[in-house]
Amino acid sequence: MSSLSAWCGTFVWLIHKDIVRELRARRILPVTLLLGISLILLLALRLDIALDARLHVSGGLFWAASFFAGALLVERSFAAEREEGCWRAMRLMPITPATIYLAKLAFHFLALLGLQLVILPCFALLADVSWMANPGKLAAVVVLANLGFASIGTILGGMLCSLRQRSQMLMILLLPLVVPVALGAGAATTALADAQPDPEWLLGLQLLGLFAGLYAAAGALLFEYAMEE
Amino acid sequence: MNGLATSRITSAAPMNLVTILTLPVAMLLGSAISLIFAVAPREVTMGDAQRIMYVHVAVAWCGLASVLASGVAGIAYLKGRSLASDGWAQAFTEIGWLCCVLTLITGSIWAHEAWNTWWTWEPRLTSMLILAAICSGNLLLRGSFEDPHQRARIGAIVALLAILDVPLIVLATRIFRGIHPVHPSMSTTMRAVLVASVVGFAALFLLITEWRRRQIMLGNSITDMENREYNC
Repeated sequence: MSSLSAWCGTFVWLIHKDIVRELRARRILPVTLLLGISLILLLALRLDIALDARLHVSGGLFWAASFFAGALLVERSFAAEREEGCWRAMRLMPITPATIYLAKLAFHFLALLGLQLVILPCFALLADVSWMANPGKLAAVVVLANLGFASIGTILGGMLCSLRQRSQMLMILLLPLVVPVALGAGAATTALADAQPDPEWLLGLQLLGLFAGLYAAAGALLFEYAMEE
Repeated sequence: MNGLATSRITSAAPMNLVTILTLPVAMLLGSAISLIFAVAPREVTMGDAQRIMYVHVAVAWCGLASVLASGVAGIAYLKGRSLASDGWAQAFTEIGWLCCVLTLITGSIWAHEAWNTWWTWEPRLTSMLILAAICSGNLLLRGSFEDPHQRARIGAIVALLAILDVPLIVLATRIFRGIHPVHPSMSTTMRAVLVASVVGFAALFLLITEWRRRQIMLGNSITDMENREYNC
């Protein structure tokens, strides 16, 4: 019991460290938000099409914008760890790599959620689409999609943070690996435009759940090796 | 010095294996290709264009097997930290990439004849494209590291992540109701030719993998020698 509470304490402390650093330095969220909003504007500009077609593509476009901005979020999050020597210090501390991974994953998940709280209403407004007919189902899609993205983003970010060309390499690896998550999220979100979503919604959600689980498990197992230098 | 001598011995031995196996593999592959053109019956709907299926299926299976094998070699490296395992992992990744690209090309030619389009966002095609992109990323990433152990470690992690895409490719058509054929009806002769083609191409890609692994190990030995001279 005491070891579990100690683990929880370390886990919360690691997330707290990231949040405090972000509140003090504001290195991640402002630039990520700006990129997210710019992408949303750029995509929404081209959505002056028939309602059916717009509803069909808007889910995928929203998640594409969200994950592009999310890739920058992950890259900047690990760059900050690296530049301030925090990464090395964390490796020296008696904390298991899986704990560090889960804490970073949780921070990225929360940051993505913060980003989407801003860009989701913006996109819905500019593209004139609404997915709010089923708020509970939308929340399930958002949670699983962010979990899937944060899981794979965190392992790749941790693995590449010592590399000079980490931002390019992160994009090259992250974008193909996140496609199953983006496909599932896009399909599920598009189906949510109807008050009675078709079975496509459940299929998208299952794909999301499968890959979120697989990536999180793979990340927890492999982060030990990803952290090495 | 001991390690260097060992790597010389291990890299010299497979040279004979590659030389010995080249002729049988060439004969096996030649026989398979002959069977495709001479024995396999002409398909009623697509005509001779359907014969590309024998190559397409064979390279697709070899690609998936190579990606799985590269993941297994990656696990072996992460557990044993032996560059010999990484030699296998890198060789299988390269062959996996080659097979994925060949699958996409042959599939595209087949699709042009069957579906009247070079490309469609069909679930199995899309998931195969994702795997090809992951393999490309792995190879690009490997090229960014000077240190062979760092390269091996990162390559192993990406190879293991790439494995997660394999079940998606296999199950894509069943889960997402795609238009890619799942179990096409084939005559006994067609099945026999398909098996011969898979065996022939598998032998070819195994030979190339072994040849490439040997080349990688020789490269590692040269780097090792250079580092020793530099340190002296």
